[in-house]
Amino acid sequence: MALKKVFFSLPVCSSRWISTSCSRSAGFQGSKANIPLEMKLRMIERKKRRVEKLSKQPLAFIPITDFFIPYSWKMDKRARSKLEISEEEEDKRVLLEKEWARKTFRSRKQESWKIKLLLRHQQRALEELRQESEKLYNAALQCEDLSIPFTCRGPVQSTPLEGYLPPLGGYEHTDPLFSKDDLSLPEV
Amino acid sequence: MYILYLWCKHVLQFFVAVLLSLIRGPKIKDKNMSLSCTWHLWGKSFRVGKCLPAISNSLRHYRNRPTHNIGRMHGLEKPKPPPVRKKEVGTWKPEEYKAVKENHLDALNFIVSGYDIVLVEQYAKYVHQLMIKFKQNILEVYALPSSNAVVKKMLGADQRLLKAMTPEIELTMYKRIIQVKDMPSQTYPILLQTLMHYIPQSITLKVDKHNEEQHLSRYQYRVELAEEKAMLQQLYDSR
Repeated sequence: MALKKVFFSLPVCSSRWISTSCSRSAGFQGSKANIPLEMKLRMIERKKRRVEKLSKQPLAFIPITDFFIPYSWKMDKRARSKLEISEEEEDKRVLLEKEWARKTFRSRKQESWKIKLLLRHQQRALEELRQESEKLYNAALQCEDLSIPFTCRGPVQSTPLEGYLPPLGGYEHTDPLFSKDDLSLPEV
Repeated sequence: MYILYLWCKHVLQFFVAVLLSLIRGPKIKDKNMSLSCTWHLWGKSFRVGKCLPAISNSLRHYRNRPTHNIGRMHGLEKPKPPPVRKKEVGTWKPEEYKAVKENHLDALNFIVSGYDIVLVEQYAKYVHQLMIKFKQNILEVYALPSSNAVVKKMLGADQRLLKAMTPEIELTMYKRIIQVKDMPSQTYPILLQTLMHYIPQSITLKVDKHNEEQHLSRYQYRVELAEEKAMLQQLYDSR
């Protein structure tokens, strides 16, 4: 504190004044081993307030970079050459598309009808069960026995190729951006 | 006179309709479900309980009269929910994700993940459309940030040298989430069956309860806050 007073009482031109060591908000510069309790408590309170202030800030979403196009792709004028299709070929394609549309529409309609039928039968069965006994009906509607942490995988394996040796190596998984601290924090 | 004529016409129509319905009897759609029955008469279907307009004059609008737009139902705006406050963004509110009715499931996350973005998007779209079709309460449909899997090749397969190997391909894992709330426990297995039937190649579907961890995985890690907390802990320990 005395040092600070000496510095600021010196007659100095304010525009040329460059301070290299003195600062009003330097904080405690000595070793943090032996600090008086009062000072420590004050530091703790200050830290608490700082933590509260930071925790009041709203959380920011991690940006989704799924559809980011690399810059190099945009620079070159990349365009496919136009395919020339004869009218007959075009007509064939259009008719095929229409056939496909008809097929998928039919299959979707059938599927939704089947599901509705299933639901209807389920409702009826539940009503009948209710008439039999309330206890069983209530037990049937419970949410506990359902497989809630459920995973299902689509087909992954294809038929093995003859005489194929897979290359040696491995996978390295990385976390998404901003999900973890990239800087190395000092261990507490 | 014209008004009188219209009134008489509608009244006559109504009585004739009632008579015919009494003769023909109600046409019940589902014999098991007796909740709704439609009476088909003269090409028009009058649902029991619906009030008929006594005078319907849809030709003129009388825009200069104060009675203009009385009875108008189309083109109305739904009341918008209040905008989320900055402070409350990202806070975990467990009451929002709990089921309202009995025997209904809490907020479920249908997570569609895979390395092929086209398939992921298409399947997520299918799941979403299915939920809409079955009139489920969809809370949100969003994407989780994508993570990378780098494929590395080398002569030896020593996993300890993985970091030193040169990367060959970078595969990104894409994830889409469909959040559904208040699903009746009877429809859940049926919907799961349809989803299992239509799952495409290399896609994983995961159904999980929505919890705080999953909620916070969407948000950025706050570096400053963590640093300050670490320093605070240091001060506490050194006391």
